[in-house]
Amino acid sequence: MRRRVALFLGNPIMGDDAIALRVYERILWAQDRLDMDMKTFEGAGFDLVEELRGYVGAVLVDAMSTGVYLPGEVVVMDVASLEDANHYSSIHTLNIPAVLEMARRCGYDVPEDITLVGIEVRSAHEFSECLTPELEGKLPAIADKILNVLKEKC
Amino acid sequence: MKRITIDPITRLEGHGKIEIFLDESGKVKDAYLQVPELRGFERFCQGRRAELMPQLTSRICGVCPVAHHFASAKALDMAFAAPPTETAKKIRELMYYGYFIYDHTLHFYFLGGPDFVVGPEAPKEKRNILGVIDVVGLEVAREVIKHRAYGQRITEIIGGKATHPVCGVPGGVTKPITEEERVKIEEMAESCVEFAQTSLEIFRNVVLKHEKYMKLITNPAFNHKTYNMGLVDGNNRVNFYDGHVRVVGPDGEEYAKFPPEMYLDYIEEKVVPWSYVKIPYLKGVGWKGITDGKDSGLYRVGPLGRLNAADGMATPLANEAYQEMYDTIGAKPAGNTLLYHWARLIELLYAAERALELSKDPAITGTDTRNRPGRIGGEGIGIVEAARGTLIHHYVVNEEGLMDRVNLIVATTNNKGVINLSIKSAARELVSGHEVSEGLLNTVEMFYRAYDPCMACASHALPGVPALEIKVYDARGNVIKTMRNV
Repeated sequence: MRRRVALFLGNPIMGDDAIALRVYERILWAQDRLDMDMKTFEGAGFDLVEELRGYVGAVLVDAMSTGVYLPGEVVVMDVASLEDANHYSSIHTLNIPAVLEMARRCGYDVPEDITLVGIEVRSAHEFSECLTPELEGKLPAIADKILNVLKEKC
Repeated sequence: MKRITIDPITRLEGHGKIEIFLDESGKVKDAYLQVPELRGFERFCQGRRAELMPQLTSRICGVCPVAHHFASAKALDMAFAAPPTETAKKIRELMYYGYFIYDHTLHFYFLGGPDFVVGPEAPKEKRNILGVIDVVGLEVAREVIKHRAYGQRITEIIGGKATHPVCGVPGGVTKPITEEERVKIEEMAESCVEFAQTSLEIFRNVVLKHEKYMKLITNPAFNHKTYNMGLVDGNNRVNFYDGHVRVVGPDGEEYAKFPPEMYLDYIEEKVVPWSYVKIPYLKGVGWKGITDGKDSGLYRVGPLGRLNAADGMATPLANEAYQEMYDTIGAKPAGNTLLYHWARLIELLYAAERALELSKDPAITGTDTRNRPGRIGGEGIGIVEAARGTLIHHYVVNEEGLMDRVNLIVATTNNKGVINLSIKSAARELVSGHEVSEGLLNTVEMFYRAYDPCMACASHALPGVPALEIKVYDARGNVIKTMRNV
């Protein structure tokens, strides 16, 4: 296991929600060059914590729908931002900062350095295996931006 | 009319919004839960190979994948005329109890815990799992993590994957359990029985021994006299995986008991103007709006609905706990929404005991894990009890084995009417006029969360959207007050 990990989160049948999974497919080739584990992950919450165990640093790449940014915009955030995230802070997916703290108190080896990379999407409420055309068109540029973030973090 | 909006609800799967409407005097007139609709699932499924449905439906929701997986497999059993072998049925059931162990553990400690163990009046920064640890201690926290993982490990051993299992197929499961796997499961299940008993003891110490919580769980203002629904075995004992659907009325009398294939004879769905999601009700009783009583067809599902709809639990320790709850409350059916938490722990104990029983069953390692389909195509209905309530999958498969039609009624939809009822009654007690404190609003949410609702939403709302927003509107619809909790 390497010291850092990039987790790409999403649901493959929920339209734009799969954007991070599609980015993963495009940049997996860089895994060895960056010396960083790259994984997809369809769960969240405590399962996410289990995925982070043993790493000193992590980057979480996921779709977000804030309505503040344009579709395809990439936003880098601190993990503390997750306290405000509806999905991450839900009961089933939990408040990640609190759960990380719980894990630490219980002696779990979880990373201190966690970065969140959000990709703004529009359509994540409709079942589909396809991205919306607008996001599909921006996929190469989005992947390049994510790759640059990972380069800075490794 | 004044209007208060809580949007979105914290600590819940997906997006939800509660709107509370006040009259001119500032009293609560109505309260509605709004949820976004996940669109296009039926169209998404049409024309796909039917045997893919257990995998597809498990991705509808990150919370109930195992429930969807087996409701789907059961619908396909019927559609393909392929009843599972006895071994397969036991293997499915054993895996299903693993799912209940991790799901109910998560809910009590991470959701109910902040509301109940820490308390609705506690400061916001304490109402999370860290606040729960402060009360129950670090040793219990380690046990929570360990036993949640045990539940997941049981599902993973049998299902191939913990989150999105792949074992359920028409007529059975894809692989048997080895003796080595059985021994591991038995060890974990044994430990889970002890953990569930400890959890009930914590509930007794933290909740039942405190007057303020006892007042909450016995407060008649939060008591709803509704119908109750759940699967039962041949002895009318709670069963999560199989059996007949039993409905017990607010008077405790059995209203109906029917096999899954007859659900349309009993359940109808009402379209309401204020929600995308239809509200199911008992067809024979009728729709009377968001109200309770014997003449209103609204019904409860989930832990409290299940326990109310049954005559007991099928395992000894859980049955003792069942009797203790009804003896303490002094009424059956029990109608206070907050009793869902107690009922959930009783079910946790049942799930652990039943998993232990099945893991010791010599037949569990049998190799006859699948019957061949008797036909290609047909109609199939599968009903299971998801952790949060009755889950119905109804398929029509064509002669080529492709999906023609799909209808799902998920647990939270079954509970939709009663959730609205609970929110309204809580709001009536705790919200009045322009005085909207965070503690009051969290209490309203507390009643909502007791149902463990799941909006099955896969989209995310990262920073930029506050976790909790309250808007107060005047009689003309103008926003006169906005509160955010971040």
